[in-house]
Amino acid sequence: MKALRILIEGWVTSFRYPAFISGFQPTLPVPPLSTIYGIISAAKGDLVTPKDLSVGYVFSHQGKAVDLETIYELSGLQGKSNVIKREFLVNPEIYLYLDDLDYQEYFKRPYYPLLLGRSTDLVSISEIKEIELEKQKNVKLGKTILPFGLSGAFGTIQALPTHFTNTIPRKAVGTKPFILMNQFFDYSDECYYDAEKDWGVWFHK
Amino acid sequence: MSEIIYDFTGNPFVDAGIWAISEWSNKKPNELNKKDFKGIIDDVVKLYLSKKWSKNIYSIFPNNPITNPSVKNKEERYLGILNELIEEIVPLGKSGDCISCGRRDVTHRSGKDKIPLTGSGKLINYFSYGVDGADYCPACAFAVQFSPLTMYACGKLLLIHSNSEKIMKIWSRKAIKNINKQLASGEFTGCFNEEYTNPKNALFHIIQDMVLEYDVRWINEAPSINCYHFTNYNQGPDLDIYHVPTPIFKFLAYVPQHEKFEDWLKIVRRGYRFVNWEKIKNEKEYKNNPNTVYDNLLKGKSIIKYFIDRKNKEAIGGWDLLSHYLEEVRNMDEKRIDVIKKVGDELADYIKTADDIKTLKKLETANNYRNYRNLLRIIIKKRIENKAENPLFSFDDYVNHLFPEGNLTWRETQDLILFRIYEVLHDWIIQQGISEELIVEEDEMEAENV
Repeated sequence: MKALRILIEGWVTSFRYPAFISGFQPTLPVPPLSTIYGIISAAKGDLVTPKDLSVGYVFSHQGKAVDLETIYELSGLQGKSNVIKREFLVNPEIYLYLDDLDYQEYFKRPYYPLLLGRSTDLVSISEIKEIELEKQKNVKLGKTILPFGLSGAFGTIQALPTHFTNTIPRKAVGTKPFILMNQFFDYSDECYYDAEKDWGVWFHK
Repeated sequence: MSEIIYDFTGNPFVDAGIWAISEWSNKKPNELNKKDFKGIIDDVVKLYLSKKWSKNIYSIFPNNPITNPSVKNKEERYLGILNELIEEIVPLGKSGDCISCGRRDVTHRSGKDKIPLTGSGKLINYFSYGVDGADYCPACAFAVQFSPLTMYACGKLLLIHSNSEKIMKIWSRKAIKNINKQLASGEFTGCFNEEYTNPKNALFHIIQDMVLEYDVRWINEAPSINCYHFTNYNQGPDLDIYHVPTPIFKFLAYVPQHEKFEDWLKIVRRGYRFVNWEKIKNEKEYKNNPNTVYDNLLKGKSIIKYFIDRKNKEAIGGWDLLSHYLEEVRNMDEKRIDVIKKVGDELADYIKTADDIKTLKKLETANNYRNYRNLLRIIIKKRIENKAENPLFSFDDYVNHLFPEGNLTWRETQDLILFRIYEVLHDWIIQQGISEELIVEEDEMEAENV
């Protein structure tokens, strides 16, 4: 299958657990699908959902740390500052795979600035490439989000949405349990394979 | 439409609650119905109102009727809330905006008085678009009310969440059994408490109990465990997350069947810090001390050095246990393990045959990659002079297996070779006598390794 592979790089990022809203803010080990559809929507300048496009990705980073962050707690129109601890990932890198080649135009000239995780986490596009993906068995798969119950996969299990609506307030859509697999494992069944990178790509349909 | 109310959600608080109700009602999660919910609430609310439980509930659901001192008719008020949620529960559908199950719609948003670690409804900017709470459907919000039944008191509270149904079942059964004991004796002690205050030690204790008590083929189950150590106090809610990946769980499940299980317990004991073992009388005196073996396992760091007793020149656990750890937990290539073992054997043979204890000392104390490589080169030369039949290692073994990442992994290789030499030559080394000078240098070496 022909696919588009886009390399996205940044300095720092943090992906919030949707269930933990107050106190310490840990980061998920890999981005949820909603973050991926968010960045694609920003590039296109319009809402993109799993109905429009199938995506796969391989995410890595070079370390994790905790920072103190000032937040302003709003109570009506009044706000008071507070400090929370937020975990963040350093030097994030995503190889994003899209099954629609037309999207390369959006990533060449993104409509909105591209942000990953927090609204301050600016990222850049380092490479856009059309590639051929073959289906193959016995590949290394991981560093991504996978459907719950996928044979051999392990990692943090979380209920995560696939995307959000563009209504106000936004609503989470497609929430279900996912495996956040932050390392590679040997996957014996068939899946798409990027020979150049020597890893499997799991497309979320 | 399906009549199933609960399925695995992936939300730790909701899943813990579902398994607690399930175990209390003695039914599978997907068999639960509204009648079961009605049947459980009176007993659980009475339990929560006991002094010890109410103290725990205060750190889980601040400002709910059980814990809010201004509420006088606590039982009636909390039962009212639970009954209202039951009335609103609908079976799982195909879609919905609940952020837990995603298969039902939200009717009322929930704050931290109903869902732990969810912001207070008043501080609206914790929520997207400044809404006044988190989007949980009535069924998921109801389930969370029962999550305290399976929590573990450990300083703060520990919530266990796993992808494995067996783990969830075993753990909820154990916790509910503890509650049944409290009910039978009339002594309410609160959430399951075994006097652990160190969450990491508690987690490994819980896993060890599970693998020792229950006969499960964990290799087929492939469980991983997430542990949430938290408080939900109004002032300073806090959270630490510990993740036990499948390879570590499988290793911990395998160890008790191994003939060297006692040695594994010795390795774990070596991990405890700030313990004077000569003065220890019982487990209580050290079980909450920090343990570097556990810490390293959770951080994905190596514990190889705990298999090596440098002071007594002893390999603890044997090569078979160590190589299982390397393969399962460190994901080390089988071929690399074999090559290191073979080189360790050859070096042990050379040291003994040439009666060259000085070379062992040099292998132990080499403190950089260049020195270590040079030392191996000298040994190769000496072996050739001694007309050794086989080379110490081939070029391929050296580049691909012994030091695959050169300077980055040489310490690991040094430790593994040393382990093997100690294992093979332990009796011979003892016969030679361990000099004081050597011991001092070992301690220095260990300090440098830390």
